[in-house]
Amino acid sequence: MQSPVKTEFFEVIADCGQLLGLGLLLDMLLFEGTQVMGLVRMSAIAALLFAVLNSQGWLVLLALQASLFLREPHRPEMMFGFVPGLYSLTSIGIVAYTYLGQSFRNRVSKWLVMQILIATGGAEPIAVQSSQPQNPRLEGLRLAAIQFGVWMTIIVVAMLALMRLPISAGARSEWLRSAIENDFTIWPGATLLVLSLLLVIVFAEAGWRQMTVAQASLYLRSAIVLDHYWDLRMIVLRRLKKKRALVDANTPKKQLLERVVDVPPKL
Amino acid sequence: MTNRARWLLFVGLLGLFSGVLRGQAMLSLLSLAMFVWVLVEWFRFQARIHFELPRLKFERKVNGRSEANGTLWVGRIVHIELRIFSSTTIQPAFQIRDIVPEILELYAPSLRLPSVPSAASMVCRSLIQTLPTWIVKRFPKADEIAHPPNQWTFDQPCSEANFAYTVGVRAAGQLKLPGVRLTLQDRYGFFQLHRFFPVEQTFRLLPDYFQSAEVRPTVKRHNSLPQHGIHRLQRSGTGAELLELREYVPGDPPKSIAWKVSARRDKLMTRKYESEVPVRVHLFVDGSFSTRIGGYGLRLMDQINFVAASVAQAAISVGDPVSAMLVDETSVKRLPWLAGDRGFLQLLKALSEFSQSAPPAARTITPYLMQCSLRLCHERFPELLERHYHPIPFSFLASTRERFRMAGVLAQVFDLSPNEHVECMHDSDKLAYYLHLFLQDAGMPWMAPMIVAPPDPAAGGMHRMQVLGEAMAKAIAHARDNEVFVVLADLLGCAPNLSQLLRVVKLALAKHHRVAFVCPTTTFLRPDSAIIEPKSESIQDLMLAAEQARVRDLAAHMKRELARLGVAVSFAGQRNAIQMIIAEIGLARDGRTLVQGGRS
Repeated sequence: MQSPVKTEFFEVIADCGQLLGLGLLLDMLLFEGTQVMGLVRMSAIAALLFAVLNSQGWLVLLALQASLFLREPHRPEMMFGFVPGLYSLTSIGIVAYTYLGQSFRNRVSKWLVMQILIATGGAEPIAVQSSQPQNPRLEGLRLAAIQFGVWMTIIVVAMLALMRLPISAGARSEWLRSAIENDFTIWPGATLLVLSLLLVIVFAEAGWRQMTVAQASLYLRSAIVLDHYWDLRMIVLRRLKKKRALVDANTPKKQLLERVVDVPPKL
Repeated sequence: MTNRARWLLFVGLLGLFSGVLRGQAMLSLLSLAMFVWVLVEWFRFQARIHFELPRLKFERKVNGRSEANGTLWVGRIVHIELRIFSSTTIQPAFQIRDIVPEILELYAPSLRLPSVPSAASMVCRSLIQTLPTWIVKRFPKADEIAHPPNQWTFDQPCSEANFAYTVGVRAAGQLKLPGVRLTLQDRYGFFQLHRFFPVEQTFRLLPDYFQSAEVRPTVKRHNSLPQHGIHRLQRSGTGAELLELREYVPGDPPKSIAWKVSARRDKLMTRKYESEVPVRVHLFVDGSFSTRIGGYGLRLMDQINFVAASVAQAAISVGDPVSAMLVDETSVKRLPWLAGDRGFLQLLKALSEFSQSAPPAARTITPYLMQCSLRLCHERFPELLERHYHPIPFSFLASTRERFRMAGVLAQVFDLSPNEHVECMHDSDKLAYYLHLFLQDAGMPWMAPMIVAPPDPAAGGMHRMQVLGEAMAKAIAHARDNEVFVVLADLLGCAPNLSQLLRVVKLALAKHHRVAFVCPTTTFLRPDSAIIEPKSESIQDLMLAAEQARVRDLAAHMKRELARLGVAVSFAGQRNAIQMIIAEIGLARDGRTLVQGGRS
């Protein structure tokens, strides 16, 4: 049985190890095949690791994009192979890791430390209780596999979209040819419009469906008030004016003057 | 959608544009993949909202009981357990918080006992200490991240979870545990949803009391004669003290025949015993504005409740009946004579109800009031502040938009008509009234920046004296003999108007009643000379010392005025005030005028 302090120490080391690994990976993704000075590379990686520690994934993405912007050669056609897919998958993984934050890093460190301790005989494997519906380790692996599958699908969908949409010269001529041959519209505007409408409907419908009773009531109330706002406002302000006039009439002039004098100056 | 997702999409959009324009396939792919990823996460998030949220159930147990109503005591520890369960698996990355009103004090979870460190642990600890501090601080462990005890974060999937925390009750009144605020978000923090799940439980909070060790017997201890002019209520009864001997009259109980005296006088004599008249205690409880202002547990009202409950307990435990007059600016509520355990509980309930502050009379809108209400809204009604479902009239000013939004929430919460809704938007008085009501319902105390004190405290003090005086005069009119009047009121604020009350006090003393005053102070300290010395030159200490000096002067003036009449006064709602009143009850029982004992 390991003492908590010892485990804590190993966990800090594992945290540092994770960041070191991430730094190496970022270095490979950002500066592979470049002639950038070592100091600049290290500074950039340190800044990015700082962003990772603060869960600023957009900064990591910006760095990766900047690297691609500066390094990737211009091609007339959108051609994708294994390398762009792997690069994008790794990049999404890094951004996701950044956003998962400290708690995820802690869990990974704990798991790593536990594995090392089990391997060195310093700790016994945790027995899975029969009352637990699922083995937590298997559950974790299952979730990781699902996540990997989702990311793969995302990459494939993005690839298909980029290849299909007429954003490169080759794709544009392909669209034109297929449109002429099939006697369809020559530009995918209609398809995109339908897709966008579909998405808008889905978004709006999802928004309405998740309304609570109180929200629905408030929406109705606000809609009614907005419809009659100017009339109601006029009535209310007129009534207020009368009320104030009545109060002023009942207040002696001396008090009114005092009230005016007592108003604190605006700072 | 959170700012995190917005920034990511913005950067992705930049990359996509530049990638497409420059014909960079990898850049375009990476940027578009980010868009698709966020879209996929949105769909997953929506699925969780539709399928996971409606299945969530909450159950709360307070001290092991899940009933909707109950009773709790001030100063005692309360254990609260919250159970969350669902028919499906609850996915991680959401946070729940059991809303705890201000009247409860959250206790930190009990700390783990440190184990005896081994040599290896010591080495590891020293190694950790050798690491730079910024590294160690950058890696806080999950159990080191500070959370309030009533808030928990789910980071692993489960179908049921139990949480527990401990609270203490700060003051008497009413406690409403409204429910649970839930923050649902996806794993990466792109989308967030706040919902409030009502799990209502209402409790009556009874005031704490000091159980005096000195319980006096019901029989008289001194057979003292009262002073000239003081007439104790002496009548025959079934007490233990002999009142007189008289000749036997047919019908007298045989056990009352004094056989020795009858033998000596050669005629039957009967003993008549004195009736033991219980000392009746009148409590006058002040519930005016100044007694209610402040945080729970620090108000004058809390001190008054403590003293009143303690005195009532001491009196009732020896069989003396207690009555109370609950006085505030507008009304006087009289409680009947209460005796026994049931009577004591009835009195505590009445004090508890009286402590539930009504919305304050002074209604002025302040920026603090608005801010506090908005924060409360974010906590209790997060869904009502979502702009998409709450359209408001257009305005350039952010403060006006805030006001319109708040008016809409108030209209929904208090079910106002469209006309009243618009009135709240434009009439500050109306809005302030509903804001105070809103805070009141949420169990917020009367705190200074939100609640403005009455413009003329002197007039308020005069009015308070008048109301108290009338209540006392009424009680004197219904009183019999040797009763004790205990006035628990904030009289220091209106000491210059004491003459009004002194007339009634003189009347009470003239009718051989005993009168005691307890005037609690905000500092909980007796205003003696030692505490007016500032501890340091800081502004806070100087102001505290100045306040103490002011209170001491007022107290000295008041004490002088009352001592002239022979009335006991205490200026702190502490145990010595309770002892003083118990001593006064003892004096009333014995018919003496001094505590030292013997005939005076």
